[in-house]
Amino acid sequence: MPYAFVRGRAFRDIVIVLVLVFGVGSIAMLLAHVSPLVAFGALFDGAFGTREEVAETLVQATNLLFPALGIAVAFRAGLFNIGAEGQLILGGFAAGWLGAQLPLPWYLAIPMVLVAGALAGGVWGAIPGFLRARFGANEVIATLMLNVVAVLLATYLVNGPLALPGSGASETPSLPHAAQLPDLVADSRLTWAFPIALGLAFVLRWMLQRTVFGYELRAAGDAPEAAKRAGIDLRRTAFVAMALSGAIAGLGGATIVAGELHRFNTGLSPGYGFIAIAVALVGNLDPLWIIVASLAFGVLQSGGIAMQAEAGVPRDVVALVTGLVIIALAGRRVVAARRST
Amino acid sequence: MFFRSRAGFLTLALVPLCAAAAGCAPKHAANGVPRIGMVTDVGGLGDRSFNDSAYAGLLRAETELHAEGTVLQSRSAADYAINMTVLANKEYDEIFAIGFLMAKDVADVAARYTKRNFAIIDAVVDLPNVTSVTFKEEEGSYLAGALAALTTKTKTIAFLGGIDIPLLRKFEAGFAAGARQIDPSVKVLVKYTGSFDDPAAGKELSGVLYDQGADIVYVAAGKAGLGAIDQAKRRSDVFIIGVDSNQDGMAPGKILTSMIKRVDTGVFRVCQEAVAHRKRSAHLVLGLKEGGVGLTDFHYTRSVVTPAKIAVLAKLRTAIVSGTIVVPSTREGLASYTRLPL
Repeated sequence: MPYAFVRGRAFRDIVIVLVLVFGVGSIAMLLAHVSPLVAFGALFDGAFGTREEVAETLVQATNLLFPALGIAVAFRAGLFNIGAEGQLILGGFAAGWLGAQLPLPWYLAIPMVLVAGALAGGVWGAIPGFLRARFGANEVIATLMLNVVAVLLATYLVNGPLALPGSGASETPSLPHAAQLPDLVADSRLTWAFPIALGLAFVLRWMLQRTVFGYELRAAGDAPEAAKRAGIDLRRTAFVAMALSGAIAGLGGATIVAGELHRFNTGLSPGYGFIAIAVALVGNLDPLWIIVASLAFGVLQSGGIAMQAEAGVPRDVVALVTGLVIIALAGRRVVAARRST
Repeated sequence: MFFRSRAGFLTLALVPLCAAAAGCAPKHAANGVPRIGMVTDVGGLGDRSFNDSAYAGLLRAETELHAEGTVLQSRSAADYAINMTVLANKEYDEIFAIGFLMAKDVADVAARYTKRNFAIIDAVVDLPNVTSVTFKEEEGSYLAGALAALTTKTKTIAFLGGIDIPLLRKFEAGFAAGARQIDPSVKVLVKYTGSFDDPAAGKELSGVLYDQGADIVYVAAGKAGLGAIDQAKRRSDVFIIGVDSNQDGMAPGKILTSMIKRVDTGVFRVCQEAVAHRKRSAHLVLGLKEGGVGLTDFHYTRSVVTPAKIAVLAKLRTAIVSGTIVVPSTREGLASYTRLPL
């Protein structure tokens, strides 16, 4: 049964998110015996206190923005892609491995690394897309399972056939300087990945609102029966949407490798692909609102670590709040979808 | 639709944020208390070994140097760079990366934050603002090998390592060289578990080594060592030699000794330099001479480790400290190592 995702009142979502973040967050902080004022103070100071901290917040926002945009594309087509994590990891792997192999000038190396990441993520997204289109397999389960397969596959490859002799870490060799995304702000990890992600959000919004494919995709998500009768090929739409969704997440993985880590490491994501589900939902599946949502969650991510360092509140508080946001917003959508069908 | 009208507003909202990223002035550490940050590897605090030892050094710096310490634990490799970046942004005076797994992240973050000072344990990062702290594990392992050769009844001892990398081969080479110094006819078996976090593999492979005739196994394999200790507990007349911190009490009488690596000393030394605002060392190498490695006091195994054996070990120790014995740290070095008449 196709999901009818009801996209809804952004205002109510924002209230839910604020209550969860500040309400539940405060309770968790009190349980850690720290005044919420001090803890939130440390969090916001850690996210905005200095030029470098703002830059790191934008780094975290970028890392969430790519998979969130990918997730939004799939969700808008009515496909619950929760495999962004695996798509991001394999994208990063392809970028890191290929980037370290070929010595090329930067104008070839950087596009190659990014395209490789997008292709790998796209293939990983296309698998559940194909299973859904061909056999009607539930994409939730397929994407969820493929996350595990992606991590294990990348781990096997970097520790097995592609292992570096003499290194104990599960990673590829370092990218040559030419394949690294240039820094945007001195003394920070902020690279050109951020403007690329912003640009991508605008392109996706244009695609969804202004192109025939975008229309078909939204129609397939909002009213699959009607779309089918109107002659839209739901299978093709599902396949393409999943591949595109995976490609965007994979591109995100490639920017992490080319911009921040300068190598692929199996632990490159602390769960960006999962947090991005919350980002996409808070952003109401609209690419431009997702930019805002990714900035908000970027604040929580970078500020959360500073909060742990400065106020002694475990940053699990941030994970707790993020998880509750996912449950609340995704849950509300499922309830709304039930009512409407 | 309402989206269109808000698109412009969104773009406007982004502008000041980007401007802020380019324009804010950096803050400075308050009240002159030296602030020392530490990033653990994925083993984390509570590993009763490497990270805990580093933390002990930080605690010592807090009491003796009146420094303020902060530890950020890493859940995944992605956290290494993020945690270091957060500490660098918070103007910490010294930022420790605990473990060779973080070498590339330290190099990366230190290259970006040229005004901050970093230190890495167990790896060498060649940057002006990074202090590398490494240990001569081969020297401590040499004494462990000598003691094992003095103690074995089956004329067979064994080394069980984690991952087969140069760092672990220092343990292996030193151990085998020490055994050869005592008795060249003692056989030294060598196996690697392939990871540092698999107690089951440690248990199984130590069992294999015991079955092959070894009665003493030197385990340098992180958490896999816990499995090896478990295996030794089920057998009689066998011993384990522990590693990194004093593990003797984990199975009293079963652990012949532990090759202690004073990560805490390394951390404390770097903190001293940081607090005194002295020029930081580029590379601290801590061996027997510097008190960076050594054996335990045989608290639970006095019945086996006789005063005569302790005297031999003391003699070897003096020879290493004075430079008479140069302990090999690689397999190539071990191959050409010949015992010295003492």
